[in-house]
Amino acid sequence: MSAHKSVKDLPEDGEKFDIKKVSKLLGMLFSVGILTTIACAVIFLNQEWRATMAYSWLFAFIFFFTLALGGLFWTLLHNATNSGWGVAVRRLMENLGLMLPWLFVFALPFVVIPDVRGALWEWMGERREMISEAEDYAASHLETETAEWEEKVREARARFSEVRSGIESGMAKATPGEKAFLQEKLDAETAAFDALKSEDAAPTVESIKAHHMKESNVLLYNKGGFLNMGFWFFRFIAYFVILTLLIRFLRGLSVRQDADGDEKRTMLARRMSCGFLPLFAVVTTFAVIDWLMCLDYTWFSTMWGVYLFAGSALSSMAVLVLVLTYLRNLGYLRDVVTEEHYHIMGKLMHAFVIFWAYISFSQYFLIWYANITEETRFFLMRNTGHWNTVSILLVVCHFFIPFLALLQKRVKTTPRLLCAVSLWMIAMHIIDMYWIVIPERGPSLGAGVVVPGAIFFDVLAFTAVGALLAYIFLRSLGKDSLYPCRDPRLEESINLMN
Amino acid sequence: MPNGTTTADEAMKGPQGVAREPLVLNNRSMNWITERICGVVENRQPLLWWVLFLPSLALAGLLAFCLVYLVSTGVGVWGNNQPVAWGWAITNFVFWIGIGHAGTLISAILFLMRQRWRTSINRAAEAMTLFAVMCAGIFPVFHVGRFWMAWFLAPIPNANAIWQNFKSPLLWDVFAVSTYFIVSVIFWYLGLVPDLATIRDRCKPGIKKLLYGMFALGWRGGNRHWRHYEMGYLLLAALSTPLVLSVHSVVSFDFATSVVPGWHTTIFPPYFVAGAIFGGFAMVLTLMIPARAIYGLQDLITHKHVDNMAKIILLTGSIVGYAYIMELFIAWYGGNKFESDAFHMRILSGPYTTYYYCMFFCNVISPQIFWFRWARHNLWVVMAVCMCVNAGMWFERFVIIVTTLARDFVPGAWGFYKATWVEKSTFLGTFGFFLMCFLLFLRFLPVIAVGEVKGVLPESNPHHGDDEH
Repeated sequence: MSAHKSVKDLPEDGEKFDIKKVSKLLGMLFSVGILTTIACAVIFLNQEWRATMAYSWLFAFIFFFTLALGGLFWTLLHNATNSGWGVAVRRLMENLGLMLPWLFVFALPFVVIPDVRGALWEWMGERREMISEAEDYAASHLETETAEWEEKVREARARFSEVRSGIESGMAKATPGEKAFLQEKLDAETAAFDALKSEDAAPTVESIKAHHMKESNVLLYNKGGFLNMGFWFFRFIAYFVILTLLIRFLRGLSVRQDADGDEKRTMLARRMSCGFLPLFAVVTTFAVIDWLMCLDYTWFSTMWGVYLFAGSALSSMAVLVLVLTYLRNLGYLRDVVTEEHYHIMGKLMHAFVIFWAYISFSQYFLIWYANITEETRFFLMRNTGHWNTVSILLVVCHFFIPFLALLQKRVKTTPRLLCAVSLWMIAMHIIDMYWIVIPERGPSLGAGVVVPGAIFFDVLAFTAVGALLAYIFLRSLGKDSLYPCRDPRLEESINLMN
Repeated sequence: MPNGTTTADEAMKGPQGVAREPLVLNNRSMNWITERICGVVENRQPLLWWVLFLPSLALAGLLAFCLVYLVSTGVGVWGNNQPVAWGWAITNFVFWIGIGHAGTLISAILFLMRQRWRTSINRAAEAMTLFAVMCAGIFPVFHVGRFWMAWFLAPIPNANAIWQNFKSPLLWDVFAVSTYFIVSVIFWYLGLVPDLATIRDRCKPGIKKLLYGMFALGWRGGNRHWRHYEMGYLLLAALSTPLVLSVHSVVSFDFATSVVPGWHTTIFPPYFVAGAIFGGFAMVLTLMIPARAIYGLQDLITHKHVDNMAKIILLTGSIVGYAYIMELFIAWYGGNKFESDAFHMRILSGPYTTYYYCMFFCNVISPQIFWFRWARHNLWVVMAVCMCVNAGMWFERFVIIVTTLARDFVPGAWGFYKATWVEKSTFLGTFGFFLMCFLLFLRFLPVIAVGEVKGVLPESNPHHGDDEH
């Protein structure tokens, strides 16, 4: 058992990551990133390739988005639970979360290029068509429909006056009981006739349009309150604004504490993080509903948000392990982070491996068992042909193998072994995201299940987003101390015992 | 700070800055802890114990009467009908089985997460779990109609050579619940062994000493005993962790694997598990807040414990709220006519809309008061919210089961369900049985794990006092 360590033995201002030490790596990342981004831009400019590339870009974007989202999640969780162990690695969680504002830049193709979002989210095009078709229809049919309605009113009037005179003549010789019954009948008839002839019932352009849209695509019409361009843009911006505000706020508190060591900042971060968690849950859920579930607007699952969250938290923990080990290999954080921290991170990864499996199994199993046409489409596509191999691979390699590996204490406490598992987990997350996004491309683009050469685009997009984000991430590490050097819980964290 | 004396009053005021709160207040010694906890078993019970016990016994008798009446008269004395074949019986089953989740969560999951505050409440919570599962078991067994044939549920050869339907989630329930019960009993009993030995050692020779001695399995408290015990405890904790999730997931499959609108939705398993933990913690607080006052255990079950449990209730209540809202959103978004109608019936037009609002208020709105520290520290507020949650979780199961069955696809098959006095009395009777078992547990077994709670004292830390050298 090692002796009790004191924060006084640590450098007062923490450790700063010297980016000059890695300037070669940075240069390489930057040049690779820029070159591949240019290549991606060229592909985007080509009309023929644009739709194919859109899927590649979404795949790359969503992979890194979930990693950054996980960084924010761990920061929030750390603060909200009053965690002691995590202080030593919290800065890295924050750094990962800080990539969220940058991801907005990588999300710009979806906002700026109409063809790109049109290729991904088909509801946009279909909705536009549905509306314009309905408008044309309404414009050309207003007269005939109005005439038909007037004819109907005329008929109803004739019928109504007949009924009324019949009832009135009956009233004359009716008993009081019958009278009441007849009066009721008369009132009902009057109301029905008034409703038919009233101005509200007259066909208008709007009512014909709505009716026509409902006839042509009832699903899309019903979803119009959520799936419409105005609200979609609003949400798109709102997600990034909210996520950016959350992470910048917490980061700000954390960094300012480095300077003044004020304990109140820890308390404030804790309180705010508790309040932020529901916001985080809502944003995460609807972001992945918008970007992934809506790749096929007819499909739905209440578990979707939870499923993506599980993978996001898991893989970002893997990234944290890798970054941590990288920094320690460069000589940083040696006195702050011990194998006890690795042990906890390994345990959390283990827990989330199980959680991911639980969630994805539940989702699959319930859809499979109930076998309702509306829901099975998602899995039908992924259980067909080569995608089935990927599905089975996910079961074995995303769950069983890491589950068994992480059961062993040695794997969790040996940085080298835990890094291997982390790399494995990230590879699995890549496959998971690929498996969510890319199968939609085949049927969507209508060129058969396999789009020739598309995998090259996927790799290119992944490299572009990945290299540039890695560059930004490494540079951001250099800005502040690598651990919160004056956090009141730092001493507890560096003396962590499992 | 850990060495300073903290009184309950100071603890009320809250943590001073970021310092960790002590888990045992007033710097109590190990001897005090033993005396106080064993005293509950060894001393005469307070009058209040009898005041609670006798009515509970009477209610348990009512339960027995109702069941005998049911069996001797026939299932017609219940209000179940077509289409609402499940009614109160299954509502109560899911209600009780949900309550039976907090115990193992506290014992297993919080243990694995190194949440040391669990030590003061785990024993009572586990006991409560067992009694709740017993109450739960009564309902499906009698709901099968001819309950003496209930053993047909087990896959053992029977006279008619009938095999169970392994594709049915109802059968999985049998396995899930019985496994959960058995493992929970073993886990609970294993934890009791050292404390039973403590009581044995304090008893005068006689029948009492003999009985406690028998159940203490020859525990001598040696180093080897403790080492084996701790390893066994850890392994059982790891093994029972999946059970916390599996039982209510399987219960949720009873509904979600069907194609019934309002039942079939993918979020059901985690939503049910969160709801079960939610209801379970509310019941733990309902029992422990009075118990700590009656037996003077405030220094062991402190405001921090209540505070933590209130936070768990807030968290799980909000998860349940997330699931409710997600269900509504997808029912609308999915565009399935039957699904959206099912929710329309639940909320706006059906015969049971009040139940939905009660459920939503009790489960989602009422716990939100726990965002405020003063609310978590006012025991009356905590008790009030826990009562809301206890009721709310029952409403939830009623809403899921009855409102759905009463209004399914074909209007011609719609129906209405109203519980009879027999069902109501049976349910009331289970509360009597539950409370009776819990009071007997308080009377005969140590309510707090003596050995474990000593482990969280500052002086149990091998580094305790290092700074003074």
